[in-house]
Amino acid sequence: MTTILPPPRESVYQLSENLRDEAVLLGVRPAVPSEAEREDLLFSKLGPKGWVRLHHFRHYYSAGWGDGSGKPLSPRALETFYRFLEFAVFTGGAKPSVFLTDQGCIELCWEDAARKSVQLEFRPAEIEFFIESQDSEGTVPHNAMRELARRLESI
Amino acid sequence: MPVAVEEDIVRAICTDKWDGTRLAPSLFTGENTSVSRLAVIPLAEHWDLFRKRLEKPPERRLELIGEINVGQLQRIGRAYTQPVELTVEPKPEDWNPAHAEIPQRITRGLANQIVNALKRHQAPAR
Repeated sequence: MTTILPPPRESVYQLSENLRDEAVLLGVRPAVPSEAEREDLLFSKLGPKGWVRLHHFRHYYSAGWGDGSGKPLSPRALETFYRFLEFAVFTGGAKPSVFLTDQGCIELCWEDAARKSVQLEFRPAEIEFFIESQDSEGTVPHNAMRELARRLESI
Repeated sequence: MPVAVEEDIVRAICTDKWDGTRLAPSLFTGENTSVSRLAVIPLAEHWDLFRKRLEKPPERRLELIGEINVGQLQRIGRAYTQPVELTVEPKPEDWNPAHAEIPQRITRGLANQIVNALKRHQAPAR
């Protein structure tokens, strides 16, 4: 049996052009990964040790941790970190180490195929990188994260 | 007056900066890095001092103490690609009269070299 749905009703109110979200107009929105999907991602990229450490940083390190000045994990830094993990390919075999900085940022350290250090610090507004083999350090904005992942994959 | 080059300084290394395999360079990045002077308080007494002050939350454990000579620290700073004249300034605090700070901004690249030069002391049994 075929059921014909009634045609969609026109919206009574219309947003002006400059307020419209293009994604809404297209009816396409990337699905936000569920917590379970992110846990799986974390486990596969960082292994059980990395998974447990991040769990501790998220749930036990509240404002004032350590000597009293430690900042809690930044939600924006965490979000960028997860997005980076989706694209990251870690060469060299070993699982990266994950650390919490005193400013509440996530630090990721590993070695490339030539056993040289690669380090990233996910901050609320940018990503700091250090690539020993290229004697290169600096920062990139969050929107350059995919490009950074690609660059790191090729070293 | 800055701490003399002959002195040795230490820094607490807790679980957030050590995962049993690697040491986080952020241990030394940034400005006003806290250290402690062995000339004022001996190493053996630093364990209890650091544990009482720094093991918060309880899941944060003092794993190692990293030691470096002030003169060696300065040589590393001067030899870096963008040389930095590092100093150690005494900043005694109530909880730790041996407390001092490295006031200069330390970049990640330089911090890597300092971390690699640290003499690591393992925690004695509790």
